[in-house]
Amino acid sequence: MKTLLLTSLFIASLIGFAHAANDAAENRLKTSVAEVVDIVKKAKTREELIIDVKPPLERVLNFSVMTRRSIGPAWKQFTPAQQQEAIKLFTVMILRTYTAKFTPGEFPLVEYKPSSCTAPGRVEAPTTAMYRGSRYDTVYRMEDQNGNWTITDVVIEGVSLVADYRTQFDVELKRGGADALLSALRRSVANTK
Amino acid sequence: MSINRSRRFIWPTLLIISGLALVEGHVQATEQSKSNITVKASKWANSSKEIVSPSSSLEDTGDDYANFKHIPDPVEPVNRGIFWFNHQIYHYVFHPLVKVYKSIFPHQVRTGISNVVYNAQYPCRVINDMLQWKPQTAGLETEKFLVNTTAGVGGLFKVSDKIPSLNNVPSTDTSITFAKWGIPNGCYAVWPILGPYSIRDFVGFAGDIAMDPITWITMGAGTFGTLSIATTVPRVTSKGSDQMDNYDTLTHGSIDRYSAVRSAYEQNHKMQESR
Repeated sequence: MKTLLLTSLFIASLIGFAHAANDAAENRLKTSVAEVVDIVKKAKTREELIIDVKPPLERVLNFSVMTRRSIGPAWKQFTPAQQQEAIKLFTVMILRTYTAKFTPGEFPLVEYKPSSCTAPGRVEAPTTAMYRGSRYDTVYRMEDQNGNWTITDVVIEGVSLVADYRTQFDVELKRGGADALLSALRRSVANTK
Repeated sequence: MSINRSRRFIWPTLLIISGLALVEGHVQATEQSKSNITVKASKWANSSKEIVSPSSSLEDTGDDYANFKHIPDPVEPVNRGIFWFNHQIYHYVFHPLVKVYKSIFPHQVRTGISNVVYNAQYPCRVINDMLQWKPQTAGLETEKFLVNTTAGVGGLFKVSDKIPSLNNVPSTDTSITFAKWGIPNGCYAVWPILGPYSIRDFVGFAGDIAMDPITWITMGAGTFGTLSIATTVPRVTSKGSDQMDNYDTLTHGSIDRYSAVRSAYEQNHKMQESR
């Protein structure tokens, strides 16, 4: 009887932790999305919008983890300097590509669905966004970093951003290792100016 | 002289329209699969537990995505060549056409056209629902079609989006039916103009075309009849403009366009199979 009670309490506490994690991650996501939507609403020009939207995106998107996972096991073969350069280039590339899609005054209507705790410190927050008459299901993969929830992957219509880059990076890594990948990233950044 | 001159203009125009029709076929299939994926995105999120090794630390080695199984691509050099050709066509032909289409029709009109096309393709979805033995989904699909056709003025307005039970009905197509029946993928192939398809999905795409009422109208009206053009052009351009945006987003920030598109296709594909 005592064992049963202790087991129940343990399970209850785990569920409690999971709910707390879900709430914290969801709140972080909602705040960040609201912040970005607010900037999009207020921006008068595209140039102004691109500049203003970067800081909140940099705060919530964990580019360090995204870069590392996009590179995969080869990450260990990178020197610290190469790792830093890869993160920097990946950040610039992603921000430039996606902020270019923002249009002043046009923003999606985001509907939040119940999130799920996939592992300790990991939450997946599914959302539906209505944008320009189309419905997009987007799942935000979030992780806890010392109490700070950040987005480590975005899955739009089933396509994971990190998995997509992983496939691309594999081609360059097989071709010429870290140097080939960094060259390709530098080229891409130069092209997306 | 004037007839010769006008002929000179007619043929390139027809060529472009037929090219767009082919692309649109792909677009339709992709749009359908996109909708299928849309509905199951949260399921994918849960199934990602199989892919993602649980790790509480952010200091992992980045192995989370290592177990993704790619569709075999035995003729990659050939596929890359066709992909390059398609990219030139998209860039120099379709992109300018979509730009013109967007400048002529405001966003609301484009959405309306897109809604009508989607509504008209109801038979394709409901037949596949039945072939997959999903009578409940087929019922919801029928309800959605009736609501949008009546209250939505022939499908011009997607009234069903405002009805909770109907705003997320999973869309389907012949490729998904084949997957449900256990037919294997075959290899990955990039087709001229059409884009990427596994062999199985390519056959499924032909099935979708055959079941599409717009195809029936087009064939009934004759290949180059006014009605044929009137039905083909809106569906091609409306879907094509949406798809061009997706293609641009996917390839603009990529370091290898071919791999980016292939990975996106494979991930969509995996979603369909897991449904």
